[in-house]
Amino acid sequence: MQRRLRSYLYFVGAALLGLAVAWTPALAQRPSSTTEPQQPTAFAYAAPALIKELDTKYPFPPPVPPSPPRPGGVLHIPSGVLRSFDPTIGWASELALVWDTLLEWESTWYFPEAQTKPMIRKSLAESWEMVDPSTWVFHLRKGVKFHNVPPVHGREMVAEDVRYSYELLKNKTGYSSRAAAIKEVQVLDTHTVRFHLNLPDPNFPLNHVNSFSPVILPKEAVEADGGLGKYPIGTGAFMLKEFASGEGALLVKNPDYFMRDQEGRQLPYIDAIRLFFTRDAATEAALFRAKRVDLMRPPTLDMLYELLKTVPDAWLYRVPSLGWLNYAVYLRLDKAPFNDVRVRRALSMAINRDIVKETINRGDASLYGPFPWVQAGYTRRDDYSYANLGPNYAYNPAQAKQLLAEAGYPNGFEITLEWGELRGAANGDFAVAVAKFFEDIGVRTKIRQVDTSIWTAMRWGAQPFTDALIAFTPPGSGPSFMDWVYLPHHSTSPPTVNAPHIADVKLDEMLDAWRLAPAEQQLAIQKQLWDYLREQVYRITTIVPPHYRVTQAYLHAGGVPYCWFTGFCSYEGKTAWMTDKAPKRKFEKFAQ
Amino acid sequence: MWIYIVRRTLQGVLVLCLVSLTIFSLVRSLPGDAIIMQLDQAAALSKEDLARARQELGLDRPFWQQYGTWMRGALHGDLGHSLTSRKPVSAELGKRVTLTLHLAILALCVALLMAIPVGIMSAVRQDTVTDYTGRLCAIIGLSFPDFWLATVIITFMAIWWHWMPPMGFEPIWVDPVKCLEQLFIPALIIGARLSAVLMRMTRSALLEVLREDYVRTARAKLTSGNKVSKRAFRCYA
Repeated sequence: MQRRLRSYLYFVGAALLGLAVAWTPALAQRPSSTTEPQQPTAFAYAAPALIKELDTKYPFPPPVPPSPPRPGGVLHIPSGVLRSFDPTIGWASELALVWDTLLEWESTWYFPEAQTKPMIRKSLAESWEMVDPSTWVFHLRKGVKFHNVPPVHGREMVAEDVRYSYELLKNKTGYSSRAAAIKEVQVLDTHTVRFHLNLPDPNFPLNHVNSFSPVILPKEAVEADGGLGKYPIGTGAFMLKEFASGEGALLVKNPDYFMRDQEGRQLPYIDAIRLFFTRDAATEAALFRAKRVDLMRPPTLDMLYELLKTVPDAWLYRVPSLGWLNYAVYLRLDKAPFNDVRVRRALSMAINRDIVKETINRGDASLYGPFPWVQAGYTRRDDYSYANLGPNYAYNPAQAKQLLAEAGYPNGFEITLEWGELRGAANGDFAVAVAKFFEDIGVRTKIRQVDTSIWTAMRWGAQPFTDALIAFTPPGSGPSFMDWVYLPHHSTSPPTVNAPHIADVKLDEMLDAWRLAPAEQQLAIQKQLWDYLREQVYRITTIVPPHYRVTQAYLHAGGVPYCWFTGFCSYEGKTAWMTDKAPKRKFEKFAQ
Repeated sequence: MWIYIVRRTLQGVLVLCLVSLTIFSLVRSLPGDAIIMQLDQAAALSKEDLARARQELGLDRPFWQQYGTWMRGALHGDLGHSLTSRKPVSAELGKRVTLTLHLAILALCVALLMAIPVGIMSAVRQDTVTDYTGRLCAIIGLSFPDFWLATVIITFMAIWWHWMPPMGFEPIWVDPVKCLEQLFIPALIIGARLSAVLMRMTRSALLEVLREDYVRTARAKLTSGNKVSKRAFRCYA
């Protein structure tokens, strides 16, 4: 008995000692006295200082990557889960690594100055000419070959492939909206096609640059038994070697790729890309720390801080977002009270955007208006201000209450605010903040979370939402004004693009004037549209956090350090290169 | 006997039909939409796109027709195609079954390797520091949920050692070393919980045997306690 008791006491003693050892450092970090002003925790305290430090250490624009690039290596990229790798089944940005479109955005488009005058990179199309605003002739690049594998065997891409692909993808998910702009594609000769448009568009090439534009497919592969799922053949810089369902994909370099860099070197530089389908940012961060992936996009400043703390030699690209993942509220404009502009203004004025910035990303975010700043001519970050947004965007609850009273709602009204989870977005926090602001002016808000797929359907207008919906405004490809503004606001656009049902005759006229105006006059019309939309507040926009992209020290992202989507900027994959410090990786198969 | 077998077989078929019908109904009654989830990156999809995709997969047909088509296929050995990947379900299932089997066997090995020695030590040295430590570990193993343990291990391994197991899956008959490297951590996490249960079972069962009369007699006759314990363990085993 005595022996048992002694053993027990030894054990308890050892456990207490262990606890004491673990506890001492924690106690040492606590404030010694409650009477002294309590120090904020290191983490919360770090945010403003960290933002300042990031501004200095990682300037915008970032430095040009060194030259010459080193060929070889295997790039590891995290990606969302792709269900398939086949354009005839569904669109995914990563498909652009294997399949090319006729045109792409020029690599420097992310510079604000470049966004006001976007430039087109010639991909499969070499030149084009306008016959009339509804008819365009495109001359294809000669000598472009499909991947040299059966059943296509590396044959040349010709005009018939363009006609076939546009016809095929006209009815396919994702590509249909772009292909629908084209009434007919005629083959004039082996390397020339003529596009007949449904609506006149004097700036058709600029409005057609989009990763939703049809990619060019070889008929033999599509119609072979198993289709593109079995024969994923395109003209792109990479060839799909393996698609591991639910895990990832392995893409290897296309040795016959037509594109070269400015010095005439063959692209792509790297031997292969391994995509990892990750399901959350924490996994991505762990993979990044272990050098299993070479780049990642931390969704928040908190995660960025943690990442830079543990991988101090990582390089950060931190640039203001054009508008992707802005935090906005959609309203049902087709019913009362949201069809009254005074109510919309009141709801917008009820929101304190400075607090939203703090809530969402510890203050590291920009104000956001009806559409991207640069498209209204605001190219400097100092321009992103309340002064340029106007009174409807400034926090003014007293004025908001007065507007509600004028609109006939002195006691407010009840609304349902719906939201859904989205990876990388703090929609839940935003919904709570918005509801609190609405409550403050008497709008009783019931928050309702819906399944992500239902939220997605609501956001795209495939399913109606009740009153208000937390959503980011429709994203565009690159600096396309057509995507960002024209389509989401035009009454003739389908609800999948114009989910809040905006139907404004004056707005339609302005948008049509923009579409038909010569390129040099468009910026002035865009500014008029900005002024009009910030008065109408069809979508209540608030803030947009910057993009963070962290890369390993051994990775140079080539000419496009500003791209966030592998597919939107497939050029990134083509021009990325790695130093000899990169881990040696094999690429015979996906499993490592 | 034959009547019993036939009855049980028929009951089994009925249960399988009911289970399949229930699962089929549940999947379709849950909130969400497989088509939209599949197309969640296609920001430009339209209602027509959705309708077309549903038509392609036969999801626009009445429920009973869908179930009938599926059941007919299943009876012919065709489980159909995945709603999301559009690949044959049997192929998708085969891949996952292989991985699951690998993981289950490895986790069991890990659990046995941890549980049996600790359980024996705990029983043989009952009420000593060794026993308390073993029992504490078992309680910790039972208390921590697997998903939490997995997150902690992955995060801290990446932070402290900048290491993570390689991604992907290689069957053991293709590359045994790679397979173990890939699956060791998941097997350890699953095995840790299992080992806690096994350790407690081993300890209590062995203690029961050690308290038997014949063990007490053996203890009285034999000078070495180890020999008694070994024989007691044989009896337990």
